[in-house]
Amino acid sequence: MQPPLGHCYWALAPFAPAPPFRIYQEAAAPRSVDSVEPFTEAARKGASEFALLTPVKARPVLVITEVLPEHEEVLALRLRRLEKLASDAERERVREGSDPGLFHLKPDRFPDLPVENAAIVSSLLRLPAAALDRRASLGALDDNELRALHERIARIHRLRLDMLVLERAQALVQRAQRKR
Amino acid sequence: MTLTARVVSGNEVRVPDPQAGEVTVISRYGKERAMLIHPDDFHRLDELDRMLAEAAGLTPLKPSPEALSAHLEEGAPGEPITDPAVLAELFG
Repeated sequence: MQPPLGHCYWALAPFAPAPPFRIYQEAAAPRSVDSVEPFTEAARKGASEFALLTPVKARPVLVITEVLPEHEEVLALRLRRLEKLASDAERERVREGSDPGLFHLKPDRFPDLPVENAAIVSSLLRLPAAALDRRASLGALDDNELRALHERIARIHRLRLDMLVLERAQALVQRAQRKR
Repeated sequence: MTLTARVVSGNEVRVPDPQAGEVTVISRYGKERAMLIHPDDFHRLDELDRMLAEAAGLTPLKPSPEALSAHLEEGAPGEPITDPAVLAELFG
């Protein structure tokens, strides 16, 4: 099976649980809880795990990491059909790469997606690898596209990567000094 | 990591006079224990460090209104299929 990084697959993707939370109860209708506070109160009493009824959707997603071997999980992004965008002008902006929040998936690279799509840069999902249908890839980004997408994800989520860059720069300086 | 300066009075320690552009390495048991540099060099290195940290920082991106609405709409559940007959037909 090919590594999923950069590929699009059909997947079973959950929506984030939001109020009203619906708790599964054995042999009874679900119990509705309107806010998070009753859960934290229950946790203080030692009862912290419940089964929520969480909506899921079978949908194509774009996988943006390798499978983390320790957890068998990936990070992925939801997609937006270009036909759902408000105007032709906006569709063109996305195709040109001018909308930072929507990353265009070129149809020639994603031939098995039913329509033209963009990945929603802010829609990070954590998925078990088993939630991906990896029987067939719907298409894949190339290395440059993946690098550009990772940069956008870091910038849109305001990730602090400066120390990483600094350490790398310092290591390069040290290597250069050793060569002298 | 930005450097933090700790000020110690000259009366409390005896150090050789630092020269600009020169590092005095204080060693102990053959290992580098401390380094003494001229204030001008320290401030230059500190400034370089700050500039590099600024250059390494990412400029945040702001999603367009279209991207925000895509995020919200694709992240909100629609009407789930709950009809047992339809589910039986789909999943057997």
